[in-house]
Amino acid sequence: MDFLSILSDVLLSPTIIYVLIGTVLGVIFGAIPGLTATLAVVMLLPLTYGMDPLAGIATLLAAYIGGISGGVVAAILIGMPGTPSSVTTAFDGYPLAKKGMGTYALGMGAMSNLIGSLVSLVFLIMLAPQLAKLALSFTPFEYTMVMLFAFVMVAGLTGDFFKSAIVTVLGLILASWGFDPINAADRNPLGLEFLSNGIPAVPAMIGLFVISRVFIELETDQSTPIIPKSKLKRTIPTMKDMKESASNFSRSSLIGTVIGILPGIGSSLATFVAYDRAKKSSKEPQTFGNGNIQGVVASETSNNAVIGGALIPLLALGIPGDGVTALLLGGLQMHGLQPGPLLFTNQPDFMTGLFISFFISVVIMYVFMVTIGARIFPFLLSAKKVYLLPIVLVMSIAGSYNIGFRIEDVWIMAIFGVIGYFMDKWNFSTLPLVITLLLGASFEKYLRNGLIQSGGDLTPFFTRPIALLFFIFTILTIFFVIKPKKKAKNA
Amino acid sequence: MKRNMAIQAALLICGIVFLITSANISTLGFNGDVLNQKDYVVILSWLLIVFSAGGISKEWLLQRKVEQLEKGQSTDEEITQQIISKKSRMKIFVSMILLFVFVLGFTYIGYYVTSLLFVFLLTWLMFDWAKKKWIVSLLFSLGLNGILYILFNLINVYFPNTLLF
Repeated sequence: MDFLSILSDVLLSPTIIYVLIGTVLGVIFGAIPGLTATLAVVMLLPLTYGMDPLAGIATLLAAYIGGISGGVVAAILIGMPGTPSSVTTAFDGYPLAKKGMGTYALGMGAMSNLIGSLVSLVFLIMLAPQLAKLALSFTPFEYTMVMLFAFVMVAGLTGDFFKSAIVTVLGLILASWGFDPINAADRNPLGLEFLSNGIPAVPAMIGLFVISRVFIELETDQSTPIIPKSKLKRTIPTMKDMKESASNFSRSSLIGTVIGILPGIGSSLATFVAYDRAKKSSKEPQTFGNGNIQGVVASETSNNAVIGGALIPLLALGIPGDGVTALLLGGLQMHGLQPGPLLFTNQPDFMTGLFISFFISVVIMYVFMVTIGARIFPFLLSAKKVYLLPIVLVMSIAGSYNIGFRIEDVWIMAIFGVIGYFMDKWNFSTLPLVITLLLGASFEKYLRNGLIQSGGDLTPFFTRPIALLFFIFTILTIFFVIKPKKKAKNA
Repeated sequence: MKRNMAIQAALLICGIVFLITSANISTLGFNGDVLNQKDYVVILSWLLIVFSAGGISKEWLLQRKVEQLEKGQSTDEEITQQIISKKSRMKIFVSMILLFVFVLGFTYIGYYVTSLLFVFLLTWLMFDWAKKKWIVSLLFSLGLNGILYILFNLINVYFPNTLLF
């Protein structure tokens, strides 16, 4: 099918409605503190089961875009970032709002979301097929080293490296439960019947990301509104604003996309790097943190640019860059689509449709943010936790069951919810666990297949060019994680 | 810090358990399978044991340093924080129990009946069991479940066959 046929298919089918719903729901979730893009995707994931693959994945992608973008609202208006990726937005957005410039900051934030997303989409269209072609030459040796790199990268960039390394190993053990991928031997060390098929990643992720979040929210007073009400007026930035922010837009888009491509780093890091660069490039760095609009622009452009960047390794290699793309991977697999190089060659219409849906979702997000969203969020954000948290719980339980219609999944979700809460309390990052639960079985498969091919020789894992490259990346990652900590320790 | 050591010790025990239970994994396969399904788990279990042991040593060294600096005295602020968090901690544990009861009820009784009770109890718990708030919690639970019933039927969300509904 040609481009115009696919475009008309998207525009004239229910897909456009699903994208609209996904985007709006994502924005709402992103705007409410405690609720994230991940939760929006988690809640929509089982509902997309009955849809055709393009409509289903486009809906999840729209929720992702909306969720990341929606974080700007609460970050600016109440100083509480709706999503972790909007933490740096609050640094300058909230002081601006306190000065009576909340509308201006919100408008610039939404525009930054739009630009960041579109730039990353261009990179996604330009780079993903090339990366997919490259990935076609990947053998089990390369895949093993890429996954090893992803595990080390995640462990290295999620707080305490040592603790994350332990979680990674634990995750690999948990991912090995069930039937092994080569000989289908039963591995159920605890002998529990509900674990006989292993631990499905998506219900575990719902537990780790959503249920644990509810428990964390219970620590604070629930009988009060989450936020006070706020009023908004004008939200469209002027040409002068656009010109002044042009270099920041391009720099932050690039930072977000590049960091998004690297697996396991996530949008939070991209926003910190972009914010830091904007501050260092500014003639008035001392104003950052006190209400400099460029802080909002850097943060919001980069966090949305991460979306397109994170989709590149997801679609081209099947490697999720963060928690939400891990869910998207689950969504793709649920629809019988295997991300990787063959997705581009076997499903070109699907890929084109997905890119079109991405563009439409970004436009819908911007229009919604500056028109309806800017007016209804102050009302929505005044909801009390006491009513919001039970809704999240009952929806998550229904969602978990509908992933595979297995009671076991609901138990796994509940158990991992408790595990996630305690991991948070004990400062163990949940991301290494999620990544290993999702990729652990594939890692074992590729590692063991590689060893079968080489007859037990480890040399190809370190001598084949791409495998060697990822091995060097892995070593460098470990080096760069350990070095600053040693420096800080010595200081 | 002692808690951190206890967690690492628990993970070390997990590693030992996984190592012992790996003995039950069948090694049946083909001759060319260099790293079989059992060896893979054995290696990971050893890694977990080594990393956890390393973590315990690290925490122990850190604790010694801190003890030397502060002589093991906890501040008034720490004690106050512990008292403040006791109430919310209890609330979290109760909500965890409620969640597991919900999953159990969902399995045998039915989603909507269990959800009605769960939302009522959880909301009331969040109101600190205030006598005047039970009716609000009940009405909220009834309303929410009514909406969920309509919504889930509309978008074809399925639930297991149970005693009730």
